[in-house]
Amino acid sequence: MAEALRIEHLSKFFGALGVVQDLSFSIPADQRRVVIIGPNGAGKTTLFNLISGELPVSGGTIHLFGRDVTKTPCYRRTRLGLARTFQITDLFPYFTLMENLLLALQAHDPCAYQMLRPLQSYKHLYEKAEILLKEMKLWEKRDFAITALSHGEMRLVELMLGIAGGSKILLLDEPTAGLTRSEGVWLANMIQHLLKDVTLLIIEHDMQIAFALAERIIVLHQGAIVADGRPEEIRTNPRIKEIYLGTVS
Amino acid sequence: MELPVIISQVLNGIAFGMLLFLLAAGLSLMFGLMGIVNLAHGSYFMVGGYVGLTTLEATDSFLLSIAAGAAAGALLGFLTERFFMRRVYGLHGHESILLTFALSLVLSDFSLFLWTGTPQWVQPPSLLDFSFSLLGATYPAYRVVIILVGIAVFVGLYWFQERTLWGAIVRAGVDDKEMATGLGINIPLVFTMVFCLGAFLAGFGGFVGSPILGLHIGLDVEVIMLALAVVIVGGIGSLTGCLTTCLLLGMSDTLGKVLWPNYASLTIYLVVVIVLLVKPAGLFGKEAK
Amino acid sequence: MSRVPQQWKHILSAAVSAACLLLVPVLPQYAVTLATSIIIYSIYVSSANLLTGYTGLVSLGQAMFWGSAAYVVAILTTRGLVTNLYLIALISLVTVVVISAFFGVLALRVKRLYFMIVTFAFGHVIWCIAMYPMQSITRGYDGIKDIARPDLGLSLSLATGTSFYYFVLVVAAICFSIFYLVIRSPFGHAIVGIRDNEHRMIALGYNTFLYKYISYILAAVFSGIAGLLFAYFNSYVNPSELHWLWSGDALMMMFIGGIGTFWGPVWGALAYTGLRYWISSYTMYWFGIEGIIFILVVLFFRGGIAGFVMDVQKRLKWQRR
Repeated sequence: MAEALRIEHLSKFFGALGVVQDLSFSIPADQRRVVIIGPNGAGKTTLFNLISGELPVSGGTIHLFGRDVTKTPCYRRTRLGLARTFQITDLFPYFTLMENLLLALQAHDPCAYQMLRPLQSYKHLYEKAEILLKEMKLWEKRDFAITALSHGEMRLVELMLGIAGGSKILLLDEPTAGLTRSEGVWLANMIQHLLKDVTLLIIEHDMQIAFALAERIIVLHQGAIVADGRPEEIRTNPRIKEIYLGTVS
Repeated sequence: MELPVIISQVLNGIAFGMLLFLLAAGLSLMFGLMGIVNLAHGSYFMVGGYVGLTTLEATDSFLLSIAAGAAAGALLGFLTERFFMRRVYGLHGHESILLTFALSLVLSDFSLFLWTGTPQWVQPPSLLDFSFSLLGATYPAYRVVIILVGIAVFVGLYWFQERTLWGAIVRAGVDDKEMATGLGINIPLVFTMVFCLGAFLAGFGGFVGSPILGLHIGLDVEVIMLALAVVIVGGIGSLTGCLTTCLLLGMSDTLGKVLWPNYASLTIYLVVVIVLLVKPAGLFGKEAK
Repeated sequence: MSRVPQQWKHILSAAVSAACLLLVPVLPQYAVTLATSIIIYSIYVSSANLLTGYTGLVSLGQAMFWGSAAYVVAILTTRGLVTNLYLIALISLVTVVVISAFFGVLALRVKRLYFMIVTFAFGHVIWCIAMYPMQSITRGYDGIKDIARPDLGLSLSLATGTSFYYFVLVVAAICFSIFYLVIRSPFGHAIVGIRDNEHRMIALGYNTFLYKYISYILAAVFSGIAGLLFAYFNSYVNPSELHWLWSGDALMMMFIGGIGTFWGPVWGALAYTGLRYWISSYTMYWFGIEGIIFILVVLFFRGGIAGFVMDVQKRLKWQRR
């Protein structure tokens, strides 16, 4: 499989409104950091929702590691190696940090439907959780209620839930949303450090972080790709400046 | 069945449908605007009827009794909204169902205490207490009046909804609460108003309907179950759709009770199940929630 | 007070509870009967709690399963079609599984509030069917009387109040043990996740429909077990066992006891049945009072009795979290 993700002529209409229109691109399996940028309303989150399966497509196809997943239900795409995080932190509010993580870890484990043996007997899940928590430096807070963590820490947990399942391609929807500049930089460093072997497709609004993280940048505008290339190429592309500064429709 | 019987049953069905409309209109609006299912609505109907009855026994004035019944309904609606519903707005819909169900139990026993379990009958006002012939059948004039009253209420509500500022405000609130609040509309006040209006209609309907339906403990449950079926099958957001469904279900229930008495409720609720599974927004519903 | 270790407190309360339960038959007959009914109801409410409190699906149709199981027992026993208790129980529970498997697939297609309404509507349809079309089998409004106590096949008679009480206690212990295992299992963890954030669970790769479906059927089975115990206990079954009021009662007991907690259903069944028994002896306006109690619980004591107990414990610093 040479490609982690291939999108062909993808489109999404809400009534007569075309939010994503005839989008095509592919991500090779060895590409690690693809960042999607674009003004608000460009269709970035809709694109993610289409790829992850939360929204049905109006047209086009999606291939994940060579398999056509256009009509596959959302939860099954995760089984095939896709995971995503959300722009607005979406955790389990009544669980502790450890319990949140265990839910993510148990999803793909054969014990997921086990009804009679206690969760605590599955030590391997706890061991995996420990590794992740220690890497994120959150091990001491494992028994805290999730709501007791800071916003930055919750964004990190949001990230952890994405990688816990061992996916090979991860969609990060504005991972630094709501964070201060320094928190954002810290999180970006975490992402670089922890996710070395995972293909990341990132939506990012912070240009500094976007350009620092990316090995490839795709620019979306009004549901279509207007530019796709290395950061240096994008940075010097005059059209991009126009789009962001609003002189071009 | 011969023609006269069919005609009188159909007219009965339409009259009953109109009474249902008085209930269902309020229920539908409450659900559409506030996302709550008010099971106490049937209680407002019943208590309104009983209050009207007591007023009639005291004053002998039918008109005054109607006003008393409607006012009782409105008062109960106001109290419900102010003290109970305020706390469950925004929570899951099932909280409102459980709370209003409990309230209906309280109101039911309260009515039992005040008016006993003996079924009561109200005479139509002497002005309207006659029958006339229609295609070979003799038909009570009062029921025709009920049909006319129902049409008048529908027209009134329609005009209110489509042509007045208040109506536009309510419609805006149904469509998009946050936006409406952002525009400076006092949503809590609108909620209270809608609640009181719906309850007013229910109380009104309870008394004007009493010459047809009688008054007995358990009436609240009977009518709320049908009104609920109307709101589900008909959907919310369309007043015309609501009326149509009321007439359909009113006739089904009336004819059903005559033709296959044991299966009327079953058929209606089977339709409810099917509608919920096939088109949860209802037959005339604007949008699935 | 906090010097007594956690374990000893649990063991002590468990021992005291067990002793109380075992010693109930020394009380007068009416108390034993009441206790038996409370235990049967607590199984019923626990099953509803699994679906509602733990999986987050509010159903107004649990009476459908309680009643169906009870009717199967009643019909098979009074007509002498089947005499073996275990076979009767099997048929009864298979019936419940078939109904819940069929209806669950349909009902789970609709979202929360509509799920509640569709379970209510379908339950009502089943009640109507029992009242009229199937009247020849169910005896309609009159119900089926004189259901004989079952024969365990162990040369033990269940005819007395005491012996049946212990029988119900054993069955309840088994049921609650299974509940406990399910709650603490990965499955149990997942359904709570679905309750709190189904959207995230799907994103994590869970087939949430399947989890909800299994939960629905499981809840139906345990309601069925409670229903079949009831048929033998009461020796009389009538359509009110299928009525939506009984489904509503399950929800009320659940709320009063503490929704989504393990012992909540037991507290709820105890409080509700006890209150009903006590208040009914003074006044006939039990429904109104029940309504008031419920309103108070929903408005002011959202955690129910279990929640209240936990608050008290926290204040006395008996618990760490």
